[in-house]
Amino acid sequence: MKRVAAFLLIFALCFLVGCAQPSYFVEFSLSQNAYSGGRKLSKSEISDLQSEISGLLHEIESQISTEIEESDVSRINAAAAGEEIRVGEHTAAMLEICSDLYEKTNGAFSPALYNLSRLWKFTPEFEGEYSVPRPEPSADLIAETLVNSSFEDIQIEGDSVVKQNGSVKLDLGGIAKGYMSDCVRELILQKYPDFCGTFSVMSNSVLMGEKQEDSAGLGYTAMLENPRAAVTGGTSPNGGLYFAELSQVAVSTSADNYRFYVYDDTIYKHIIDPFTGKPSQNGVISVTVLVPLSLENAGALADAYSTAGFCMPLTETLDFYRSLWEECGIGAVVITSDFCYAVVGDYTVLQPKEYAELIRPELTDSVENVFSLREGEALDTVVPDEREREYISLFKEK
Amino acid sequence: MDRKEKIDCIRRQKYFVWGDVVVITAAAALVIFFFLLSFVNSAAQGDSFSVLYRGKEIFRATLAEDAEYVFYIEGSEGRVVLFEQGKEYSDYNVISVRDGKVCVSDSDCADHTCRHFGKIAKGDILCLPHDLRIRIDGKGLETDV
Repeated sequence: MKRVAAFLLIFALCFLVGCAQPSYFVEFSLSQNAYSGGRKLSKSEISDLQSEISGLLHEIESQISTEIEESDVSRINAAAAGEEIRVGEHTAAMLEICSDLYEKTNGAFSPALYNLSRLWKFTPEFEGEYSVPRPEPSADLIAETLVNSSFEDIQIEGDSVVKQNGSVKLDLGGIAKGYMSDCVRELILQKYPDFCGTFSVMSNSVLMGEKQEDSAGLGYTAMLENPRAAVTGGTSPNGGLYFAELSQVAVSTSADNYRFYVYDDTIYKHIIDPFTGKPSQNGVISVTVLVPLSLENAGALADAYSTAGFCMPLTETLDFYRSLWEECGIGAVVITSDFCYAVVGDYTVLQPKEYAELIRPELTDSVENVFSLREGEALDTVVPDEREREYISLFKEK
Repeated sequence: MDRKEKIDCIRRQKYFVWGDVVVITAAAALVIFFFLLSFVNSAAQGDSFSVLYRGKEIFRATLAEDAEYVFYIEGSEGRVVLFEQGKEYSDYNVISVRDGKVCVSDSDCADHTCRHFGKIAKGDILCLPHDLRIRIDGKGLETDV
């Protein structure tokens, strides 16, 4: 009888553990509907995979987190000019990708903006205070900090990093989650070379292979979060737009509705423009970038390119994405504060009503379209929609 | 109780005592509770709200049942539990669910903006001072990611 009791207790404890959400410092989720060789992976196989991925994410994080004193990035940030720092494989790989992206975006993507992020109080030490309304730092202080925020002051050769200017500090936050998603995909492919399934590292999703059991015939689908759900949305408030017919693609979204504050009728987002030294103000509120998995470092590219779109005038942003589409099939959806969106590439982007019509026709009347497809050429000056003013007014100082 | 009775009792206890009943009942109750809970959670997916702290979902509950929850910050963690009247909380927002709608009925944040969102059945309620987002989950337009 005691053996039965012990068994039941162990079973109950296992059940409890199974119910608990896995705890990652970096938020990660793996679809339970994953296939390999046409066979659905069992729960234990998924669980094993999740454990391995968790270990990998922690390993990467330990190298690149600015919150960990012994991390490579923390050591680089603390180093004096001319001091050589040896870094681990993940940091070295990320810095190499960063160098390439810095060049390709003409500096719009820069990983050397830690000092500016700190000046604007968006670094982890200000956690809990990001949203506190505050005036801008003085122009002199911004200019002074900008001088100490040049990626060109960092020399990288393999695993060796040397700073020309000791004050420059790195923050790999603009690429880290995308890079992690590439490493996760590599790990999965080592175990299951023909894996079909999806996973997400924060707002970076990877859709591997073709969708299995595709009863709707839509391939993989993805929701583009509505960054203005607080004032719009209908009965499907979280979806601003929807993607369908996706496969073998990395999808990354950067938006201004996380980590921001409102002061003097202006949204100050955490994405810093490396040219002005200020939070980006180009009228863009959300950028989603889709990178085919056939491209090397697809996840990292999607992550970095979605950030870069905030740091150019709008017309340049759209031209930049058009050139990426023509050169290598990278697509983008850019939503602006006039509640218009532009689609670059031939990805299938659906309005909520169109998507509802395909998968739940009975909901078509109850969902609302929020954003309109941009007609004609965009201008650099974006006139905010009335709903944008309503959204900003939610956060005005009382 | 003579020696023989004592030995009999010890022998009996060797195989079965009241403590066994308690352990077995507790274990069975736990198994049944969490087995049923798993069905409750899955049933609530399409008609529920989520609470996100620092952008990360920490709680989800159904809109079908009226209830009062409290979100509060403990150290660097955000927590959501059933609200207890009279109990003192700090850095908190009381989340009320009534008739399928959600509102923040009380809070100690600096600006009280969250309370001005009123009762919502769509969209989000934001509390910037607490880095809190209460989100009505989509009803039916599911996607893979």
